[in-house]
Amino acid sequence: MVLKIKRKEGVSLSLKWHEAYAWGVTLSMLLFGIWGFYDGIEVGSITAGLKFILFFLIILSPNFVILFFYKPKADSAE
Amino acid sequence: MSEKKRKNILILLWAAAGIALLWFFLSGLNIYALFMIFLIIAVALLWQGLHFEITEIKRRKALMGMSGFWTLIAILMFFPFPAPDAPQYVVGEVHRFSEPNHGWGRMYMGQLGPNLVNHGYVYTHKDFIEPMAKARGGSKPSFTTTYPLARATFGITTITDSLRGPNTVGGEPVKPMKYPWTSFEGSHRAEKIGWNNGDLLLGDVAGKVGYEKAKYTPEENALMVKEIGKWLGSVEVGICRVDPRWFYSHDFISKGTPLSLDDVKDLKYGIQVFTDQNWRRVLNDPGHSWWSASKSGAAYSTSAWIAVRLAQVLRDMGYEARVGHGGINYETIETPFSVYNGMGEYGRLSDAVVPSVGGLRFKSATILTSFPMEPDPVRESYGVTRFCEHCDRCSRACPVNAIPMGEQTVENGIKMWHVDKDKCVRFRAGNLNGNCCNECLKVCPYNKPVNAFHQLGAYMTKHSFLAPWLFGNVNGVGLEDWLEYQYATESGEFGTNRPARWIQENPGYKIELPRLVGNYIFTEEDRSTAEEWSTGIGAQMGKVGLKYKGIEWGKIPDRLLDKDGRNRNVHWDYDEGELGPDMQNIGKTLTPEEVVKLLTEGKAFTGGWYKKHENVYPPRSAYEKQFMTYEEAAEKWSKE
Repeated sequence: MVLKIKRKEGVSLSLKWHEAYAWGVTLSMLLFGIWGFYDGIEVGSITAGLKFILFFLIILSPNFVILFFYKPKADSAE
Repeated sequence: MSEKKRKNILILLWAAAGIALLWFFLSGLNIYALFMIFLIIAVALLWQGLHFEITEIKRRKALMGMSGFWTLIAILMFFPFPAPDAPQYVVGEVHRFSEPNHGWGRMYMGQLGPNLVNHGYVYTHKDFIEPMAKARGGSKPSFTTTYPLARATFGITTITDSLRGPNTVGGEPVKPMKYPWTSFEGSHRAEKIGWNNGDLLLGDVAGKVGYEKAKYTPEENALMVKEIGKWLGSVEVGICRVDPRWFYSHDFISKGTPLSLDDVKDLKYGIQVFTDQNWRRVLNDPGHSWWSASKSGAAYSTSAWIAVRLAQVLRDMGYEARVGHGGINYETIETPFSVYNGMGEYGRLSDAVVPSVGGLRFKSATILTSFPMEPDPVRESYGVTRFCEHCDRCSRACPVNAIPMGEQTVENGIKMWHVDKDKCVRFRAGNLNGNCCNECLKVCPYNKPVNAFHQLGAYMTKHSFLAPWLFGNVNGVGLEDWLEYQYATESGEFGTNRPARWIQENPGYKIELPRLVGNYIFTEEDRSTAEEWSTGIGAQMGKVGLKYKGIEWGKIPDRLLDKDGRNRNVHWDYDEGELGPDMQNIGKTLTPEEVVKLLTEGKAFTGGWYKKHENVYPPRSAYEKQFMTYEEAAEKWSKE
């Protein structure tokens, strides 16, 4: 199964389902972290907000590594 | 770099991740260990991705593993698992509480020592003390009455006090005042005022009950009371049946007058109104300002104002209604109302934590009435008690070590955490670096604004068994500690606005008992367990032995100790104008014979939940001489 997004001629995004799942999980968590960042600023301080988003960036760090660096080399994939 | 070297580094990285995992569990889920796990795994994956061949299958497995892990965590955090069972706090025989024996009663009646009962001298110039005491009928100024903002907010309760009820019950209220226009009685009142013509449905009640004219069913009555209460300014309104064991056995303001349950038999329902002390104000109280007493007074007087008006409505409708409100004008213990009307749950502080009103930072007033109402539904747990098992922020923050760290204990047949009220009140009345206290309210994780984000947090602590582990801080460093909502506010970092100094008693002080104050006799059983501590011996702050962020809990800084290692007593400061060395306590020491004579002749009274039945005058009620659950006691009371 492949997720295909085609907005206009020349711009398209094609993701296998497990890639789409991983991006969905990561972005959802990141959004939650951003919500916490906003709330931290609102109810506490800039520091509280920054710490909240930092918390999510830390626990998501393996996600980012897998999404961006843990993949077949471009030449071997071809 | 050789292939072998790269492999060894990879093995080392994964081993480090394993060690971090081990550290995480061995340290009791320390948040820094958690961070280490994720960071090391990220580095290991990065190393693997950059230096080794990654196949499409490997990538898929990694993506699925990572996504599956977070999906599982999300399910554990957000799925509406059943909330824990509502804790059963009543586990044994429960005796009515004697108001002179609650913390403030003991302090104001001199049971905690002469220095503390005279704490007003610290806050008010001595030249003004006597004239002020004379004007106040002998009552000396206290920490609540010597600062303009606190005076204004607390002071108004002296007016609402006279409007609490139409007559005296036991000793209270001291000066009942009828509304001058409340002259209709019984059926005439209904006829003249016309409340019961069946055309009065307030607020959204018509929409909720589905008909237009009032029938005054219990369900409809409850809805209307809630509508009026919220309209008058209450954040929440809770309704429950009354358990007669909540009435104080002896009154404080009239110094010991017993409260007979026969006098309050018509009062079957309790309506509790809540006011919020404001999360930002609580969050920003630095602990060395006058905010603490001022915001208490503001919330007390506002809830009092709401309650006396709502009670007058019920009285004008022909029902019994009387109000208990703060600061110290209650006829009942207030906290069980919050628990049994389904609004909150007992937490580590012994107070009810009510999540919808900022946890601990609310003040409440209660209307006791005969107005028939449908009580709020059987309460379900909010997970507060479960959460507090994983959190000890209030205990660590307490300047005088008054909040228990460990397991719940049983006192007076109630299983919960029991605060050392003598220590707590000594600090709040005798705080020499500020006024009163605010630490536990401020650091409680429930002290947040009621917005969607924090409601989601409350939802998770209610439904998820995992959330208390993550949010809790029993190991010193949990998410709440790390986020530090207080950081950069006026209050400073968690725990740094102390150390504290507080009024202590003379070295070697021991109160003489038995002692008569007004109509009340304090006996040997009432002796404070913190008496030696009150002289400065063994004084510690917060969690003993814990070090975190440069703060060592449990240690009084050297600059606050005298040459003998004792926490600096106020006497050492007398030359600078604080408290004199020979303060006189109130009351009169009695001989055992005098005690027996006064008690048997009914000229004085004595109580205390910890006393044996035969040592309480007047005798205890039948409710207090057997094990009864709340439901059993309320049911029996409703039929009396």
